Amino acid sequence: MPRRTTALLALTAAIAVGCKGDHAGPPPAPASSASAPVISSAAPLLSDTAAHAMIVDDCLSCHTEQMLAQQRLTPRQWASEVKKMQGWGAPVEPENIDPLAAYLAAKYSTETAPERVPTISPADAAAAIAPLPDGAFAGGDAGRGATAYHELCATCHADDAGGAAVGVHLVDRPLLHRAADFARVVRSGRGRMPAFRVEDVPDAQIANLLAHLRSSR
Amino acid sequence: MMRRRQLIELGASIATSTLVGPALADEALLQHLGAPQDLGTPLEALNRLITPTPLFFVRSHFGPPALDLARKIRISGLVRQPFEIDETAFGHLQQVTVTAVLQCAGNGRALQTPRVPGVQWVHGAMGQATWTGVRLKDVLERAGVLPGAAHVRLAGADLPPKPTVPAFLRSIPLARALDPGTLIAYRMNGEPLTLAHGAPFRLIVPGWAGDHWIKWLTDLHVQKDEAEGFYFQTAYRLPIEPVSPGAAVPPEATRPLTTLPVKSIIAQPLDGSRQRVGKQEITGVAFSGEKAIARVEVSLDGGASWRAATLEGEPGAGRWQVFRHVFEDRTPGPKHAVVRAIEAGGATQPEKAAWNPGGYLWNGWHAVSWEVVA
Ligand code: HEC
Ligand code: HEC
Repeated sequence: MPRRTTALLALTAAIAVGCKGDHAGPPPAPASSASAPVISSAAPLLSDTAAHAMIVDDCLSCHTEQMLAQQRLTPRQWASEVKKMQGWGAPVEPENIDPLAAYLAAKYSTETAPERVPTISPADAAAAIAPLPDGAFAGGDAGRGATAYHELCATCHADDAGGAAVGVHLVDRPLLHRAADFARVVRSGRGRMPAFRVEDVPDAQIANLLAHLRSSR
Repeated sequence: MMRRRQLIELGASIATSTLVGPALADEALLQHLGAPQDLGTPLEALNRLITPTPLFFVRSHFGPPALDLARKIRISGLVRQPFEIDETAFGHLQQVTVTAVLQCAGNGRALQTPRVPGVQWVHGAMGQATWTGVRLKDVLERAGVLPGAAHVRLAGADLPPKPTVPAFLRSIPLARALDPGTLIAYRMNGEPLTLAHGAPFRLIVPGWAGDHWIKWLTDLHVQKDEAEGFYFQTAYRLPIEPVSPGAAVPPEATRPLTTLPVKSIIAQPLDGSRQRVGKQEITGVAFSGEKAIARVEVSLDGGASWRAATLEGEPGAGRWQVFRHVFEDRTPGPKHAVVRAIEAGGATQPEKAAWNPGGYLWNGWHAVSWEVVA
């Protein structure tokens, strides 16, 4: 695929580093390039909506979006980040790698204003990972939970719940001791995880799933 | 089963209720990442000998495992007698408390030019606490280290989110493991470790960067070689020879990072703040993983002249002292201070930190500007 500097990126990101104009390809990859940014000409900049959908689907299973938003990187660095994450299991379609990297490179470039780091109270930070009482989700049956798990969840989260191509690992996680939050994910869905109807996973079934997953260590 | 439940509930009250005293009520952590949590200590809190646990920075790669105070540690590999231990078995060993700085290797990454990817810590990924536990040496001696052993591989209970993500595996050389300062800790600042800080057990490696201080510790594997995998062979390494900023560094030209280099940080006044005319107070912390701090110097004229600050707290490698420089200033206007630390018989903190591709161990001079008003 021919690669050349695009006018768009030259505008957004290349001002400070000096545009060297069209050239055939990137020099051997330094960790951070001092040359003009080079992206694939086949990658028109994604719209915010399209990029956001891609990020939600492909990038937020293992960390929140702030991991992306705090970076200030060159196009080359972004391209290698997206590829690194794909190698680590981000389900990015091959044809989306370049457009996503170009979008991130424009949005979170070396010229973008510094991130305003939000704050959180120590009590809220501790509460976010602390175990909570099971409430309506107490007293599940691990055997029934195993059956439900293999029927509804294992295709994505793996038989041993250790995570797979799509789903993340669910074993030995704080979320298993925050039953209401767990139920919320199951019933609302998130990213590529579908929402399950309450009729299909009533409170007692959530309790069973929790009992199974807690015993899976 | 019952036992674990009770422990989990006990842990819940520990996790939510510890130490949030009234003095801390309006101090907040810097949220660099909400999930998994990467939380920084606010700069203005970095002028205390002990960082209160609720304000102590939190670093997680994958997020914590479930709180389980009954988790055991397995000792295996090149040992005469592999075994599992928990806190009850520690009763036979001497309990030790050390005061030490914990600093994330990536602290200051946001200050590297050119910028590098990773959590964009500024100053907040460091703190000092008292750590109580048993010596790793005593545990290894009980297991009986066999000839040929040279490294101890460390693993915690925090699993990667998918099997395709590398596990967080690290190792330390046997000599460091046998150092009397290296602990398996279960208390921090006198209280049981919180989940965010590694409950029930974490390793304490005074003087060395945080990537060795494994949280939720479950495995000690004595072996001939260093750990393998991304988090030892690719991450947490420094160029062996200095490199020019932005340079690509091949893996064979790198070595694992270990000791914290000499560093000082100004906590007050805050950059951009306003102070009344009269008494001006510059405070912060200084430390080195290598040696004790010999002196801390403050310059008010951009480095032309330097005055020694007073130091508080006990000197020692791997622990910080609070520095303080007080002076009168009756002239309103913009003020500027820069600080540098010098270690005993050793290095002076460099004006500019050495750039490296991972953005590790930033330790350049810290400068602040403020306004004195009538
Ligand atoms: C399978 C889990 C997973 C997915 C999906 C994922 N990441 Fe990551 N990402 C990680 C882990 C693990 C880290 C390193 C966390 C740590 O050590 O603090 C990370 C770190 C990062 C970093 C910081 C720099 C670095 O390399 O450590 C960036 C930027 C990033 N991810 C971007 C992305 C983008 C963009 C996507 C979507 C294309 C994505 N991630 C999807 C697991 C994931
Ligand atoms: C079609 C694939 C798929 C199926 C089926 C599925 N999940 Fe998921 N699940 C995912 C993905 C993908 C994520 C990560 C969500 C994201 O990217 O934000 C996830 C996340 C979760 C989480 C949140 C984990 C965390 O770290 O916050 C829980 C809990 C969970 N799933 C439980 C279940 C349960 C229980 C079932 C069965 C009732 C199930 N899932 C079925 C794909 C799936």
